[in-house]
Amino acid sequence: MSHVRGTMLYASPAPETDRERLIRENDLVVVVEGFNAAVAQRIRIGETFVSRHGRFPHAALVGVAFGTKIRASDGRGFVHVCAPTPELWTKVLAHRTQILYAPDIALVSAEMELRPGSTVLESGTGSGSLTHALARCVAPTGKVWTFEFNETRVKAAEEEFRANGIDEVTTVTHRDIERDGFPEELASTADAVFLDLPGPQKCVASVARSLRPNGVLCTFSPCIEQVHKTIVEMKKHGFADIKTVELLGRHYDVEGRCLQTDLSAPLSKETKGGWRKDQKRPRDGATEDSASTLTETVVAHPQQRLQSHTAYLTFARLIPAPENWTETLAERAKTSESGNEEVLKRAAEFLAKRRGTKKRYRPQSDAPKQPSKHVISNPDDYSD
Amino acid sequence: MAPEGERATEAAAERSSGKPETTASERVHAGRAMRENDVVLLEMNDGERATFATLRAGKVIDLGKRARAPAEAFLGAPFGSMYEARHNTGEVERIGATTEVINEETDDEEAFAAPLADERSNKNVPNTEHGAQTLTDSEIAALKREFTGEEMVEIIAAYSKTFEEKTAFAQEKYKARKLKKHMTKILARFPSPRVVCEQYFYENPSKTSYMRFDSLSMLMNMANVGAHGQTLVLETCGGLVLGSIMHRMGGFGRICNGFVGTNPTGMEVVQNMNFDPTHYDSVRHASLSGLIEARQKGAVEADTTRAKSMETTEPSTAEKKERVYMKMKFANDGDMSDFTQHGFSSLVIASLSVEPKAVLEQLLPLCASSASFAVWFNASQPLAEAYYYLRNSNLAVNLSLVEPFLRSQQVLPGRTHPVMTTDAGSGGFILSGTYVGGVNTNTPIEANKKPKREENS
Ligand SMILES: C[S@@+](CC[C@H](N)C(=O)[O-])C[C@H]1O[C@@H](n2cnc3c(N)ncnc32)[C@H](O)[C@@H]1O
Repeated sequence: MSHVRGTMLYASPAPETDRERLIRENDLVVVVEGFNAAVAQRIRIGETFVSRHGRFPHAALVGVAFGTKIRASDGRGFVHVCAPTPELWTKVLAHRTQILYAPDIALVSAEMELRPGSTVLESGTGSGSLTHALARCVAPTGKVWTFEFNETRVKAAEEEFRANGIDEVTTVTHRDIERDGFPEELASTADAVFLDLPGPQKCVASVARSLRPNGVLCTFSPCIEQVHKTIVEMKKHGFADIKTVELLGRHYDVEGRCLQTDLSAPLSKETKGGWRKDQKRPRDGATEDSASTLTETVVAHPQQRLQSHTAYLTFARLIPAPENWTETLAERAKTSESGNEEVLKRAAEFLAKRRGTKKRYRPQSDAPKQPSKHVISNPDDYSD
Repeated sequence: MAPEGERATEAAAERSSGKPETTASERVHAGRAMRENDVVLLEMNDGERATFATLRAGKVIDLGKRARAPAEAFLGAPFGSMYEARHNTGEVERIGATTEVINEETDDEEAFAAPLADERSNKNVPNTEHGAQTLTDSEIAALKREFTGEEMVEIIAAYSKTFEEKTAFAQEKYKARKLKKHMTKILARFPSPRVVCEQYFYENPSKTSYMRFDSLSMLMNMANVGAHGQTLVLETCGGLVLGSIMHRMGGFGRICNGFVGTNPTGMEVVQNMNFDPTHYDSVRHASLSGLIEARQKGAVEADTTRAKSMETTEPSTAEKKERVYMKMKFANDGDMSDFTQHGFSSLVIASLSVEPKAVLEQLLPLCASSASFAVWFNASQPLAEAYYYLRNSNLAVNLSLVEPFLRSQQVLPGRTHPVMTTDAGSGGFILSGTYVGGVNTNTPIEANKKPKREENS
């Protein structure tokens, strides 16, 4: 049955009997200060989380429900203690490398068509931001094999995966994927492969061996030159259905603004700023104060800080070739007859109709000799 | 797509009852063979046109362009197989991905033809010296919709200024290259949520409320949809969002398809996704007002029998015709008490017919504390109002309002640029967050003094 649990994945193999799962020692909690600033805390009795909102002894968090609002022991402010999710983890994790963020992670997970039971290969592991989301997609019966060539990062990732409880479905291995490719033992096992490496083009041959028919390769490259080289390789190794996209998450701030409607009165203290929201929100339990007499307009405006590029995401599918299939294009081109008048006539009629002109089809032989290659023809000829 | 879709519906209905249980590894589709009664999306020439087809022995599938194929041409081959439609016979033949040496395209005259969809920029055609092809890209694209590969080769050669001057050897090479580029290829796609979402988005978007694929993917992730979760969904996207959740949860855990009014409606899209019975078994329909009532009552007494009256409305005959929802059960007492006492771990809302703030106000209390939720809407204002309300009433944290901005890139030697398209509008907005309204504020025992002052942010 289903469990609402305080673990990173709902799908942990050990069945949870405690349905009202409360925070325990060693749990990972995401402490949300204010409304959006989040910090990861591993619950250890004896430790205290200290922030500008006050002091929060871990001992006081044990036994409370996830999502609870906790007042500081020194009474200064409050925080919320939330259950971890892969998305929250991406917000709070320790950056050992550049990482993928929520919008790219969402697109990658879905484009790779991951579902419980899928096998996915990833390299490099980096900070494990994507890995957690991949683990959620394939758990409980699938597997994430992730490879990283920096040994320190391998160790750190291994520890985190264990502590966060995704290790049942995730294995991190120390390996240079650009040099050695994916392990032969994994040949034809992967439903999807994700590459976030400096030279993805070097791995395409190995990826083609690792994927099952109809498997998806996704590469994440900040530079278009890498994409270029990778696509050349993809086409050489039996991939098709290739597409490259960019995805940006345009984040909006939401505010209640005080906007003046009376044009005869001077701008008030609240409206003068124009930009800031000056109205105080009514506090917990407090009654509305005088500020609420001003007209308040709820606005959503794009945040000024917007990441304008993360990387190009390229997706390609390994096309299963029929047994003993060979390309016959060259032969067919040799034998294909040309000058099929019927086809050319239909084409000419089609084009004439499309161009909306009265131009009629002229057989090739009657056409005036083409000008020499070195004559620059009038570009407008294209649009007649 | 419409008539084909209807047939798909029937086939899927028959299928779900009779199919044997599949193993976990079989649920994963990659490498899976196309079987009788499977739905397949047959996509021609990288999306030039695509249709859903149900594979039934003896049935002939019309692929357009005078290409026809019996279902047997596909049965037994793995999903993801590629086919070529040969114009001389009108039949399809299975092929592999044609290996391509991309560098050859640099000396391709078409590479310098007028760029697609922007004929005003002719002045910028890099070097008309190479403009040996007198057809524009858009003309070639249009011709391609009408003519098959071998015909295209002839046409393109006839409109080339230089073809006649080429040596016989060069002509052959040229024709082979053109044939590869213009032959009619058909990709037999597995109808995964991403494939189905795109197909509706381009062919029949009103059916799925113009849900774009990137937004759908963000809904799944931001709501933390995963195996063994307990997900509540309210959608009016034809079943696309429900199907996407079923795919993500893989039959593990529970999905509550919450409906407005007295009966679930509009779930045809789910039929096209080749789900096995385990997936359908994980879904329960429940009236949202029934759930709300059951929860309120449950708070007083754990007896849920009264909720029953809310869930057993007899479907009308018209609704019975819509076979999909009959494949999924209505929530019984046990389910209702599971849902209401335990709370949902994820909440997904994707409907242009309901007011986000009002819906969140009513449905968030059905969630477990710390549950993730995500709401999609195609305008920002209703979501902004909901955001403002949730923040000010301390019902949610980690609030975020995001608009995914997706841009496709054409990558070709010397011609890399964002794809020029008029489909680049908005994919809508997603409001997401963590529900924290379910529990009371906790004051640590260690607190040695009364809080003097409280800061909200
Ligand atoms: C940008 S990071 C990946 C970030 C990761 N996707 C995330 O979301 O956290 C790239 C990683 O690839 C690793 N890497 C680079 N070349 C490699 C190779 N040849 N084999 C394995 N790992 C490699 C780097 O050490 C680095 O940790």
